[in-house]
Amino acid sequence: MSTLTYQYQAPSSIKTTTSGREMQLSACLPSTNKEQTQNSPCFFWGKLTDPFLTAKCLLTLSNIVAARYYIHPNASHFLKDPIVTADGKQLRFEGFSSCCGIYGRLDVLPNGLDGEFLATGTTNVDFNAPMQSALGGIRKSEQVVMSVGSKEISLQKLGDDKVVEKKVPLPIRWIKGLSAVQFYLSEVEEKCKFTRIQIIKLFARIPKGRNLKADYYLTYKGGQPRFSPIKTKGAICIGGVERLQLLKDVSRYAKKMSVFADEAEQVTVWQLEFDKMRFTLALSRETWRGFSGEGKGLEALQADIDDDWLVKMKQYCKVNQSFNSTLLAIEENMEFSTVDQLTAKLAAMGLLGFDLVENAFFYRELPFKMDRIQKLNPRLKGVEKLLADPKSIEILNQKDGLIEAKVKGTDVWHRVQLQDETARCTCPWYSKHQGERGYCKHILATKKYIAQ
Amino acid sequence: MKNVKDYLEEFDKIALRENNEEAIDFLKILPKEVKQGFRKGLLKLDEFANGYETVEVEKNSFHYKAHRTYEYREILLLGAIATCTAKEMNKFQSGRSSLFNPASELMIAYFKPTWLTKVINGEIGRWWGIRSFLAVKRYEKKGYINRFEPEVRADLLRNEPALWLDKIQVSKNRTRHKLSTRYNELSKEEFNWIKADLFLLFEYDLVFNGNDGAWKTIFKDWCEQGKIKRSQLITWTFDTFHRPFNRRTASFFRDFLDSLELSTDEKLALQDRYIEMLSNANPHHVSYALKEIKKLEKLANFNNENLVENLEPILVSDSKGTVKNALMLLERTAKKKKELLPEICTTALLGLVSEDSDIQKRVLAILEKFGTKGDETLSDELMIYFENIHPSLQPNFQPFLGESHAATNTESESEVFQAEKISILSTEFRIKPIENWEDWIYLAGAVYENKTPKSVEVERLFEGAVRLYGMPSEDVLGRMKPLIQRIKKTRNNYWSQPQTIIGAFIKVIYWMLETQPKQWTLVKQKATNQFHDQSFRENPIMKRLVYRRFLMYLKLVFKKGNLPVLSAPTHYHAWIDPVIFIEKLQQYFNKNQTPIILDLAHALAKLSLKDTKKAHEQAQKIGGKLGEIIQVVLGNSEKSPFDKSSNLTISTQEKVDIDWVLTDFSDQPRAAAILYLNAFRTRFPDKNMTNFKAFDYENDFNTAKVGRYLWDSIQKKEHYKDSEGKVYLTITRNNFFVKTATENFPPPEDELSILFLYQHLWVDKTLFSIDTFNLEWLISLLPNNTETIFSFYNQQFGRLNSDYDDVETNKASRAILQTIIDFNIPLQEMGMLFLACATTYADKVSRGMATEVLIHLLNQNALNLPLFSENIGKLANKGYGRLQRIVPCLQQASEVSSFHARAIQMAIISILQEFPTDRLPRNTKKLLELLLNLSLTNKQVVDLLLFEKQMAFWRKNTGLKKLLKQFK
Repeated sequence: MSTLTYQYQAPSSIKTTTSGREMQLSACLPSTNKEQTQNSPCFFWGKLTDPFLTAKCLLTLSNIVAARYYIHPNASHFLKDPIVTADGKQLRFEGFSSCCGIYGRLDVLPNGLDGEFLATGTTNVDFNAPMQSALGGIRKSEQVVMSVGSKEISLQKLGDDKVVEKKVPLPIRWIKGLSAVQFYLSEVEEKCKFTRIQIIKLFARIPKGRNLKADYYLTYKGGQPRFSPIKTKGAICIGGVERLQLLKDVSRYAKKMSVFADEAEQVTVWQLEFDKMRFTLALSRETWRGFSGEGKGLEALQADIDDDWLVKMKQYCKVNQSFNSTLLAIEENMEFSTVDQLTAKLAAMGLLGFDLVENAFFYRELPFKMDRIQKLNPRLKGVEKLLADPKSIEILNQKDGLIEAKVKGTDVWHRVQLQDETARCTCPWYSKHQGERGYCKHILATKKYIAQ
Repeated sequence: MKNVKDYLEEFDKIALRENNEEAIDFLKILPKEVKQGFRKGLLKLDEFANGYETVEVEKNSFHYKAHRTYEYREILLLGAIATCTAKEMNKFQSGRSSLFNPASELMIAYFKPTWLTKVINGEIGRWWGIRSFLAVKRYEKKGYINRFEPEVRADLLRNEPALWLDKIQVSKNRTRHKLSTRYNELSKEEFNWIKADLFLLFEYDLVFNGNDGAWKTIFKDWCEQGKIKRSQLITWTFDTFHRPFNRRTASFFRDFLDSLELSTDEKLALQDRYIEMLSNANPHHVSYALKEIKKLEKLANFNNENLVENLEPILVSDSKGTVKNALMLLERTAKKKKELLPEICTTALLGLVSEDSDIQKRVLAILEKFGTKGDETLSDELMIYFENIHPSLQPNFQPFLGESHAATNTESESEVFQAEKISILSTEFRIKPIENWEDWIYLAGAVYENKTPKSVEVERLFEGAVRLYGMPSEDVLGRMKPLIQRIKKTRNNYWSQPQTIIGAFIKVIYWMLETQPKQWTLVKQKATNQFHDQSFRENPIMKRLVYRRFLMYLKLVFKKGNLPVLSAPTHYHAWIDPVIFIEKLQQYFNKNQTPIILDLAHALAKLSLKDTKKAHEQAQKIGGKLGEIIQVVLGNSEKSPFDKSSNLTISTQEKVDIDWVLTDFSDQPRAAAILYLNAFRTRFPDKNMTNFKAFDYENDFNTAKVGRYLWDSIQKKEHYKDSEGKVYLTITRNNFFVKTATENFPPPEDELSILFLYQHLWVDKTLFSIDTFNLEWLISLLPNNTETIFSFYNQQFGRLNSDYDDVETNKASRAILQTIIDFNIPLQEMGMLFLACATTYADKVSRGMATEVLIHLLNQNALNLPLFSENIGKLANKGYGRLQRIVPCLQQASEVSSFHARAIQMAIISILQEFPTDRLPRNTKKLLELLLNLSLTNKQVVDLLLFEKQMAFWRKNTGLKKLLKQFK
């Protein structure tokens, strides 16, 4: 576990003035270095065209970030501050629950903002208790000016006593989850759409109580969506359905809602649509399963990609801010698989998020040291170890598209079989999860060995 | 002469110079009397270190709670050293613990700054959280903070107490003193330091310690003393309403606000704050604000314009009362502010989200009073909600829709529902057998690693070994080796029974492949060795059953796949296709082999009897007793071969060999009896098998009594209602368990006794202490009928009571309902009673599942509606069934389709017919309202004469009287 120290110029606050309210979201200073803090940018300054709903959504997001449905033995502390990305057109507030199983994002669309983007980039924003109270107090038809970062920063006299510091032990799994969830978002498909009445009725019927162990299924009965503990054909499986309560408050105002799920039933994504913003919530398969433990992106992460490609791709993302991977492949005459690998790798590095409506990745650099996360991944570390020892992998068979290998395990030799898109191994991890949580180190190592 | 304060100040100066040596020198040159004090203090602390709970320093007593961490004692030591000789010691006691007196803080800050971090992090002295927070503030104010390393400093300077307190909150079960008790001792200086954070600290204190009346007094006192402004206190309190506190803490702040006794003027000035509470996520806050707004709204200075637009969130509230209040406020505003009428009408439409006809009528009333017909905005908005309007009210709303919308509405047609039976034996549910050793090995790994493997996978694995053993693939042993090594490394224990059994099976198969044994006794010996006794040490009978099944599979493996496994399920949910069963039996006859009796009995119990025509034709060829048994199970004979003259006994003393001749039972009458019993119970799971009564069962007479689920048991339990404050409803299998089964049937070894127990597996709790066992797998080994499933879970989780607290009961009922769906088990007499009971349970999940089962059965047209309704009616009559719980279940089921709605209408009529004639069960009105709504939706008039007996009493009730008139 590493320790993250947030530094803010001042606490975030909402002040009431004669012309309305002013919401100052303090952005995390880029460094503890005094000289650098003076150059902390203001990302956005302007009016919110629907301040009431924006405030409700921000409150929901802060509740998600503070939520904890499963206490991991090593994670006794949690973050409260979401991350905001300003891309020059819209603001995206992202947060991840402390249990690493819930991801929430608020996209304030261009028509939800009436102001100026002074910079692009990503930062943490301070969400304190008084701020939460003030957000809850915003009424309809109020005028609210919002600034992300301080516009008058250079005018303020900076000193140690002015800076708000928050030191939070930051589990690696939290950051890993935040980047891993993007893989799922890019793979899910829309399963159903609901009208406003349906949304309100559906959320009124969320099973109550924490830690409901049974899976629930989202199904249609009599033309109405329902949560049912019983699996029926075409139903969407939701583990830890009680976590949806987090969306209940804000769901009352949604015009539409889409539910997305992946084929393997590992994730459900709930997207509430408002006129001027969208709220996305992704739930992991079970309450105790954080996105951090899912090895969805490991294969892409260990793919051998030329560093030049990565740099170019990063530059492309930074310039364009948002792109569709398929279109990019067509436009640039690149292999689909190469683009997929590049995007996967960048997403795993925390550089890309995924927008379901636009079906496009967007650029955002998480304000954490991401290079360490890759290195700390236990499975990737295992792969490196296996590849470092030439005797640890032995190819037994390679014919008709079937590859069979012997891979060294702990006191045992495991058998790995690769055929077309499928891969299997005799190790306990694969036996337990059957590839649902990403491949084991033996399969990953064999694949890399063959590729080399 | 210097006093302690002087010494401390001097030390402080030295400490600020950050000169360690200078500080130590200073301690050395302390005056004699101080040094003496040091000695005494040290001596006392030495005692403390040896476990003393009280430390006495000179004349002052310090009571420390024993906290046996070394660091804590050392901190105490430092504190004691600094203060023990002071005559003015009391002045420096800013708490009874020296940990937080200024002297010890100073010493810690100088010598052990990191310890303070530990204090703050709750690692030591955690119950004095507020004190440690104060210490941080003092350090900040006095400038000591600069002595710390940047990391430590950052930790100490967390200005947000919430963040810090959240950390403490994580540590559950940590006893902490109430912070409120310390606030009164704050000095003026300290008070000012934390004034800004005071309320936040107070909030978090409440989260930890619950409601504390002391706080009310403290804050009120401070208000009166002028320490805190009243307006500030009110603002702080309102601020709390937007934070996500738990229900109890949230309610405290409402009470706290009430305790401040706000005047009407103050409330009026705060009207915006009350209005902003309307969009609060906490429904109780909303109700509270609504209550105040209802009073304020009557006053002249109230801003109604602001109110209308902020009523939107509560118009879609879950609470009907809240919605009704919001509509009332809209109506009142409409009367006052004519210019807001269009906005009011559009806002009121949100009330149509509610399905309650009463609310919809109120919306209609607002439209009729204040709406404009032909208003396009109103019409467009109304169209969104139109489908949700109750059919009986839709014509009344029609005039507000406008012509274009009206036309489109009439064109819509409702979908016609068609009940569709799910075939248990459809190809969709067919189990795919394993085809090669590769797949077998990977499946074995998956099943072994999974703590709760699916029964289908376990059976596939076992059955696969039987077929594949005769044709081993190349290097099969090499491929299996990693798995075998892993199994060998795993330590078997009581907590991993399935893993132990599966591991043992895989190991024996590996050994058989390796050694190709020629004698069955060798295999049996190996199997017995591998079958770990430890995992069944508390469950000897269970062990015998599983062990026998284990052996059965190995025996068939030994025969190199020449003989099929009769009891291997052919379809998901452990069903066996009778056609395949007969085909497999034919194979036995063709090879002149005898089936294993346990295999045969098991197969009989799992046969699907949905369609037996083809199987029956094929079974004609089978003769002898077995032929008769098969005729019974396939539904072509109800003849029981048992009467007194048949001279068949069921004695447990008889020993038989596993390979006995089956086709003629003359020498094995007990086996025949058990197989017959199996066949009968599969075919008539709920039937009282009278034919068997005539037969002498010795200890097991009750075996014949199946499925008498009498209401006697419910009636007998009624007295609990008054005596224990709980209502118990126990569904028992009347007289259907063998008393002290273990005494009568000590763990048997022989096959037939095992089979006999197989019939009675659920008879006694002692047989089933199998918390750790894979329930799904075990269920798959039992006969597929509700009665068995019921009994199984009863014994597994405790008696099936509908009491209101018992978690075990919830587990049992949820598990049964889930199994009914998963295994697609047809419900008969007992199932219907259980389903009716489940709709009354306190556990919402169980009720939700019962509703799903109800819908599931209606979907298939497989619900015995009269019996189900009669049961619910009886439950309500006896005071067990709370209509408050039953009505939502019925309503949800009725919403699925018009077919369901009609069925539920019929059900409600039957339920009401069972109602008492001399009293009114609570919430009868709700049930009648649902009936009225359904009759309007279904356009089916309800004949009130059906309730002739109850009507006389119902008419005495004014509310019901009005409602009953509407039926006409």
